Parts: sequence; structure tokens; C-alpha cells
Amino acid sequence: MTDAAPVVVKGVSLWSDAYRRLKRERLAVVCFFVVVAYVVIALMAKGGQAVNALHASGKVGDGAKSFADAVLFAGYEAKDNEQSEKPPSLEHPFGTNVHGQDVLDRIANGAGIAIVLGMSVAAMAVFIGMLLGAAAGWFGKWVDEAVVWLYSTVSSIPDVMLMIGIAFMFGRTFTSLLIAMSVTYWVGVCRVVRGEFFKLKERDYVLAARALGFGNARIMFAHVAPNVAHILIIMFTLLFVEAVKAEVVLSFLGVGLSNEPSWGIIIQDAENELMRGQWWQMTFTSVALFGIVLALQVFGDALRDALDPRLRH
Amino acid sequence: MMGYILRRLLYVVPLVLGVSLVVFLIFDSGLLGDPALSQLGKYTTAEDKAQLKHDMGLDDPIVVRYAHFVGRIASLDLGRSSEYHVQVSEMLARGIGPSLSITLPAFLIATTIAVSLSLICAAFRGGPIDRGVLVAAVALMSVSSLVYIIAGQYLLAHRLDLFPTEGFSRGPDAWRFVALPVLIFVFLTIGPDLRFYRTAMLEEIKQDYVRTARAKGVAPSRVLFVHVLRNGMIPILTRVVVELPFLFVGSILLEKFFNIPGLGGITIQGVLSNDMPVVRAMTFIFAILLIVANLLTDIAYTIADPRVRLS
Repeated sequence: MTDAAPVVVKGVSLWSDAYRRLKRERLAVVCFFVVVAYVVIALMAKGGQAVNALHASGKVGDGAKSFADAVLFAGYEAKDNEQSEKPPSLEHPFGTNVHGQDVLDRIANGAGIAIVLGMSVAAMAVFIGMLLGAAAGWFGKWVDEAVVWLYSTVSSIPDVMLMIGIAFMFGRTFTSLLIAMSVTYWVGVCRVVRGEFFKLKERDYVLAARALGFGNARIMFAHVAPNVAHILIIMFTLLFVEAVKAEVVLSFLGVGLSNEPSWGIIIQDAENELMRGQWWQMTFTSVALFGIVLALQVFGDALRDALDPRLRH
Repeated sequence: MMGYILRRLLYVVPLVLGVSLVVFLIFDSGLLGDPALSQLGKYTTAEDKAQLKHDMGLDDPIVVRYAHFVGRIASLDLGRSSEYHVQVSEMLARGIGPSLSITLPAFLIATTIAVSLSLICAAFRGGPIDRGVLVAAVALMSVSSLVYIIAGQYLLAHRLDLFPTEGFSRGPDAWRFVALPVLIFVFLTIGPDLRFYRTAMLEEIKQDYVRTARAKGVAPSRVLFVHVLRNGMIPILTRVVVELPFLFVGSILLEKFFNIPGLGGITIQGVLSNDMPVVRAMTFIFAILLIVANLLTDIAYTIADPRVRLS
């Protein structure tokens, strides 16, 4: 036998494989860009609010303010009684509400609230769930029992009631909603991460890392954590949708934000207008909400199929 | 099996204690907000406030207050509504009926439709019917529940005048008020239900016993309705039992919109009128119902599935 050239099979990492799979799902790609568009609009609206604040304190001139009004949806608070309850037109593509405020501007600012809150909540919940889940799965024994007791307790209180309770006591602010939702949503992440850590700590690479004398923290976060990263990404998209939906409902019910153009509050305002036959505020807000939720849901499903090898058939 | 059930029963104790701790931390500890605030009117002096705090026992150390709190709960004292000055438990007792009159029929209809559709999906998996139903389910889920309620109320009650716009009756004509909320509730729940049941059925249809049944010539419909449905009942059962507490409490949104005096409506009324004892009691009751439901699920599991008993 002569020396054959060694056959080298180039490995495919989870990430590049997932990227390839995701790219093939055309609908998911479209949905991804829809989400990106929402995020861009949200950031523009947030930028407009920043310009508003700077203008109010006299740090920028009227030129910047009128630019922000025209492009960054910054005129969402400007009232104009002459323009009250006008149907969609070129000047106000989504019409105006009872105060003559531009509905498009308000919806864009609502997107800002929903998306910034959704992302913050998802990030917080994933962070808390990851830390506690990792500790429970890794250390086992009493740490595990304490964490399991904690999340069983929290998940015994239905999500809506827990969020309503916390937001009710804390007040109608962004921080209040962030706390209420993070406290509620970390449970799912924690459960999954705990299970994964239980499984992964038996792996040979963990033993090897121990033999090299690495400490618990280093093995947990440098060696095991990258192997649950895909789960965290999946959970992030799932919680993002949940948080966007929950914000709308809570604000609507009167425990969420107040005096801000949150989608829940716009819908609440629009309810009376709808009964008078003015459909535009309700319709466009619902469509905006429907768009992001559907896009995130479809993209999240495709992402899960691409990233979670166990679900592949 | 008895050992397992006993252990499971004992685990309820730390859970209930945990829930009481969380409820205490949220509502009574003062960590998030002042528990005395909801009892105070708009124009109160600092002395009134201090007196009230003293009367409510808010000056005591936090551990003592928690012990008092647990004591009150153990004697089934949920407190008095600061808005209506009646026992919260009386308000709850009156609210259960209206809530159930909407959720129970809606739940039965939605579950029947969702299970039937999931069987159809499983039978034609991957085909156009399956994909169509699935897409419809995701689209249904993506519409905010607010939109269903508002659109339903506006179109069917306000414009077409098919149903009364809101209200409730405890007499025999209750069905008139209940019909539209029930219809909307079915639409709200059918999307997620269908997706869940479809996954459960697909899980079963992949099993070896299905292939065996087919191979020995059992008719496809018999395989589906007898073999697959029976085994698929286990995950269905789990979901059904976990949904039960939500039936008692009803849909908060629906009851608010249709002005139905159920438990959900009472909760939101409590939130809006800053009635802390009511919100606190609802949170606690809700949690207890969920704990009991989970317990029942686990026990039902051990009876239905011998594999659980062994592990």
C-alpha cells in the first residue's frame, strides 16, 4: 500500500450550517429584513426623541428640530386642533387622531418603545436565566434545589398576574415594565439552560479542562456556555415577541406606560374613534403590531429549526 | 406510585410558601411601592399616613410582617377591598360564575376544533392542507388579542348589531351577552392550541406502533382515531389541565371590554381603582389554582402513563 493522501473533510460549524439552512428559507429571510426595518424605524424615532430633548434644552437649533420632525418622526406630540381626526392624506399618510397628532409619527414612536423594551426584556431574561440555570445545572445539590424552587414558585404565578402585580406596585414607567417582564420571563431560559448544563458537564472536554486545572467559572463560561449559545439566541427571539405583545396589553390595561405613544395606549385611544367610524388609527396600529409579531414569529421558528439539531428530521 | 404521589403532594408546601413570599415581596414589603398608598385618599396629612402605617403594622420588622401575612393567608383572610369595603373573598365568589360562563363553553369548543384539526394535519402532514392550516394558525396568533376583541366588538356588535355590545345577565338570557365573548375567546386560543396538538400528534404518528398497525392492515382512519388519538391524549391532557385555572379567572381583556363582572374584570377594576387588596388576592388565588392544576396533571400522568411511575 502506498501512502494515500489523507482525506480531509472540512468541518461545518453549527453557525455556518445554520446560516446556510436559514438562507434557504426565503420567507424567513424576508421576515428577518422586516424585523430589521422595524428596528431601523425604532432607532430613528428614538433619535428624534433625543433631538427633541436637545432642542428643548437649547443645545440644538430649529434646523435640527425641523429635520427631526420631517424625517425622524419627532413631531409626534405636536397638537393641531385644525387637523383633528383627518383621514389619511399625503401630508398625514396614516391620518391624524383627535388632537390632530400625526398617527404615523405616533406609531413609529410606539415601535421605538416596543422594540427597545422587547430587546431589553429579552436580554435581561436571557442573562438572568443563563446565570441561574448554569449555576443550578453545574453545581447541582442545594444550589440546584434552590434554583428549581425559585423558578417553580415564580412560574406558579401566571405570567399576566405577576406582571400586572409588579407593574401595579412599581408605577407606570419603562423600568417598571422591564422589571416586571424580566422577573416573569427568565424562568423558561433557566429551565432549558439548567437541563443543558446537566448534560454537558459530563462531557469529556469538561473532564479535560478539569485535568488542565481550570476553575469552575472558566469551564462554565469559556467551555460549556458556547455550547448553549444557540439556545440563548432562540430564547431571545421568542421572548422578544412575548415582550412586545405583553407591553401592548399591559399599557392598554393601565399598568404599562402612560403619556407615551405606546401601541397599547394608541389602541386604547383609537377604540373610541373606531366606534365613531374612524378606522385609520386602529387599523394602522394593529397592522404595525401584526407585522412585527408575525415576522419575529416566522423568523424565530426558522431560526430554531436551523440552530437546534435535535429538531432536524 | 403512592410514594411518588405523596412526594409530589409534599412539594406543594414549599411552593405555596414560595408564592406567599413572592406575593408579600411584591405587595406588602414596600420594596416596589408603598402598600399603604392605596388606602389613602388624595388629601391626607403626614400624621394620617403615619397612623395608618402603624395600624397596618407596617412599622414592624419585615420578618414579623411576613409572619403576620402568612398567618392571615392561612386563616383564609384575603383582606378587604379598599374601594368597596367588603371582603375580597365575597367579591371573588360572585365573580366565578360570569367567568366560567364564558371560558367553559369557549374552552370546550376551541379544544374540540383544535384537536380535530390537529388530527387532520397529522393525517396529511407536509401536504397543502397541513401547511395551510399551520400558516393560518401562525397568522391567527400574530394578531394581538386586543385587535380581535375590538374588531369583533366593533363589527359584530356595533355595526351589524348581532350581539349586545357589552354587559352581563345572571338570568336565563345570559347567552346573549356571552355568545360574542365566547366566539372571540375561541379565535384567541385556537392558534397556539392547534400548533401544540399538531406537534403532539406528529410525535405519535412517527412511532413504531403506528407502522405496525398500518402493516397489519388496520384502516388509516382507525389508526388515526384509535391508535394515535389515544396516545396523543397524554400531552393533550397536560395542556387541558394546565389551562383549567385560566378558565376560572377568565380572560382579563375580554371581561374588561364586555363589562363582564367576572374575576378578570374584578382584577382590572382593582388595578384601575388602585385597590391593592383585590389585585393581591387575585395574584395569590390565581397562583394557588395553578399549583393545584399542576399537581393534578402530574397525578393524572402517573395514572395514564406507566413510564412515569418507574422513573
